Amino acid sequence: MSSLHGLPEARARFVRGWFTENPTYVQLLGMCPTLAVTSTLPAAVTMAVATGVVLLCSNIITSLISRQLQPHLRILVYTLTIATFVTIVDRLLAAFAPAMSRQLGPYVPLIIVNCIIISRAEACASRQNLGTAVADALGQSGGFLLGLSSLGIVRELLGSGSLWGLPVLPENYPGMLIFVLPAGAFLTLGSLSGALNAIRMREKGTQ
Amino acid sequence: MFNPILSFLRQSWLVLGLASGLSAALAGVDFALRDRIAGNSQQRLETAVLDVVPDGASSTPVTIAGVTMYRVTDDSAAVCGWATPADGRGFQDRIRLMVGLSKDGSHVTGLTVLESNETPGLGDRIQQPQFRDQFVGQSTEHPFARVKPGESAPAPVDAITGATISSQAVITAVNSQIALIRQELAAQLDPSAESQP
Amino acid sequence: MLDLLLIGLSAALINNFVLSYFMGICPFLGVSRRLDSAFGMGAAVTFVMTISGGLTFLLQQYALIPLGLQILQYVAFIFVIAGTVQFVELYVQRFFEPLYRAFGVYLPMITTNCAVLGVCLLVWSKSYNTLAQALTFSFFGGVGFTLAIVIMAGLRESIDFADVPAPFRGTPIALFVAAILSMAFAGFAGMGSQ
Repeated sequence: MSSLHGLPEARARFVRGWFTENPTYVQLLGMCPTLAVTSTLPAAVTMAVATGVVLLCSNIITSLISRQLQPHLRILVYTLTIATFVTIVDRLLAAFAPAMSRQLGPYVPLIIVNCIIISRAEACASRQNLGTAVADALGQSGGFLLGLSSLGIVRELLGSGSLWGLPVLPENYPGMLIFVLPAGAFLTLGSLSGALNAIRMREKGTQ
Repeated sequence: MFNPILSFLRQSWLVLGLASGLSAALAGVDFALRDRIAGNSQQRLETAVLDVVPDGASSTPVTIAGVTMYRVTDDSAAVCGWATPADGRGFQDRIRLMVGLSKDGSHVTGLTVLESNETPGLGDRIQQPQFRDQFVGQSTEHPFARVKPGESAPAPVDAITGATISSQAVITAVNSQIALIRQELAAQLDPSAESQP
Repeated sequence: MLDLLLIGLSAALINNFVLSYFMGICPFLGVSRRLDSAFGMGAAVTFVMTISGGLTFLLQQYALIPLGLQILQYVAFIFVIAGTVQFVELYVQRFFEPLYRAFGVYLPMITTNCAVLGVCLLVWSKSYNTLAQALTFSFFGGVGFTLAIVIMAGLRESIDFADVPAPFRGTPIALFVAAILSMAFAGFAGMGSQ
């Protein structure tokens, strides 16, 4: 009964997370990793996947137990759950991808304070059933992956002329250093979200 | 009917159960991965040490005059060189290096960058062999000096164009580390070397 | 002493928390619309950063490392920060009523401010090994945060009167301004070296 009832809701949430409620471009959540680790595509994708795993685990636990708890206990349980899963993801990265773990540095533990996770726990997982919470986590992670990798692609391509470490632009392309630097992160995100706004406005105008 | 005591008990057990579950998960991960993670950073250091001393096969950490060093031995377990970590302030942040020295500490056998956060494309070119290899084979008798094209010095190093400060930071770090240990190294291996300048 | 000065300089200007580490970006883009509220936020964050930076340093140095419990580092840090925020809120409310009215509203938001957890983690990853170094780094990190957020608020007050193309109004133009600020702060690099 509840699964039949929950199915369209879950699907809608999954799709919304990728596009209409995209965490990066629409909700402007999780800006810290969005700007900090997107100077190359592999780092951006690893970060998005790590955040997605934590979000999924946190949504599952929240959806299973938070209705049993009073509000003041909830926030304690969220924090404990998120910090634990972040530690596990961080240790796994350090053990199996040490170079990537060094490159991401403090930004992996900073997933703990990523607004996406706590806001999804409050806004969705604590009120919905398990299936919907999982779909929501997957949708939001997908949207975050989309946001981070779009920045990663632009910055790596323009900054170093390569994609995923493989050179794609002609060898004499000098590389626009600014895109690898912190300033380039702000510049790229500003341009991309401005461009998206422009597209959205034009669509609205033609309708 | 809503029973406050029952609800309170259920909540406490739920929080306790969850906390123990999560702690067990953490303990499990720590137990399973601790050695592997320690091994990873150990291996990275070892690779850097063997990278800066040619013919090195294995290394042991030792402390000489309060400085951490790595004694590098070759296939036949004879000492073939030394490696020592050096660090200095770069353009952005700390730069950590590994310097390789010959058996008697008389010349540099290699230099590698362990950690740096210099500007991509400019300062981070200190990691490229074109810059690092300038140190290799030079005598440690005189401190290294940054030179412009056409200038000369006893131990010249060309700075990277556009990254004078990063280059100078590497030179300073190498010089001060060598100054710390050169005397002790020479003395330890050959007492007669002490009298030489 | 020179050492501490360099640490402070580096935390506030050369590697500014907001403009170079991107920590505390959410309040930087969200809150900073008015100068006085930006300053209040900055002061609150600096306060909490200094206290939790010092506390987590002591915790790590004298409890977690000797006991071999580094695995609990992140869990312990976030609870220290949450506790500090609660404590500071109560204390300030009780004893410094005017101060509480000035920046009390920002206090609950600080627990999830990246800059606070960030400073605790960076103290550790930059291997500072005395309490003085950790406190200096944390305090000047907060000063850097305040500086960035106040400058940004000042600029945004003027941007509100500028004729920005419609799609770029709001966040995109704020990000462009941040990019220019970040380039300006890049000029401080190299100040710490000989």
